[in-house]
Amino acid sequence: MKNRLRVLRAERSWSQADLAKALGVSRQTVNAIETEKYDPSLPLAFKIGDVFGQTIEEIFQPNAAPRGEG
Amino acid sequence: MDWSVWVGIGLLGAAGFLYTRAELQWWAGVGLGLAPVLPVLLRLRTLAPAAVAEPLVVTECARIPERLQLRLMAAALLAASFLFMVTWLLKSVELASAGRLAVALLPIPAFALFIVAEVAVLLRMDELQKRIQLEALAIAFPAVAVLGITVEYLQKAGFVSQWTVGDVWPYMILLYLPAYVVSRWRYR
Repeated sequence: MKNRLRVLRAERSWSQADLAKALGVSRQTVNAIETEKYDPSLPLAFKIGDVFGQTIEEIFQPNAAPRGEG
Repeated sequence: MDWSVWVGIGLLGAAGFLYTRAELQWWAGVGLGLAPVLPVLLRLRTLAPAAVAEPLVVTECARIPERLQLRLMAAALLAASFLFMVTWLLKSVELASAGRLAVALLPIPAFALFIVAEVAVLLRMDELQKRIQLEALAIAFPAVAVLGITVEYLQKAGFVSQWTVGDVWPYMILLYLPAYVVSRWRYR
């Protein structure tokens, strides 16, 4: 699953540690999500949405997005 | 700490295994316990320095309090020391039947403490850390089953003389350790 976590974090000048602290997870987890090696659970995805003030769909997209999207 | 706690527990298990199954001094048991695991770690470090050096470092915001990790390590050390002590007592001291029974059951409270400490740490892990543990167990558990079945049939065929239920748990620890490192490496 693709995501805009790194971009959103960079826009706010947050470190991975800052975001991890806000989400209550380890920095390794944030890194694994950013590098798309790990897809977060739904509760964590909602929490990520809350932290950035966006919906899950605005942050996460399926790997094979339909043409014309994204 | 984090990863080093689990590696440390694995090393203790390996040392305990060797010590309890051979006529060795304690330092030889610890040394030989380290031997099979270090090459795996060193090899991984050579293959992917960042995989071992960077992501395995303590996270600034890990949810697992250090006191819980220290408690786990202390409980593992206590359990290992009981293991060494009981092995030594049963090998070296002449005891009556009741005494041998009491000595044989001595490690149970220490291992119960270890389980309590381990569960406390597991409950504080985030979802990725729990997945890493699960994957490590999912690799180690069938690997031990295959190993056990293989050795059992080798024993039946007369190629292995001794294989008891006591030989299973050390291999769980020995195989869990590289499985944990590999699983952790996947999410580097």
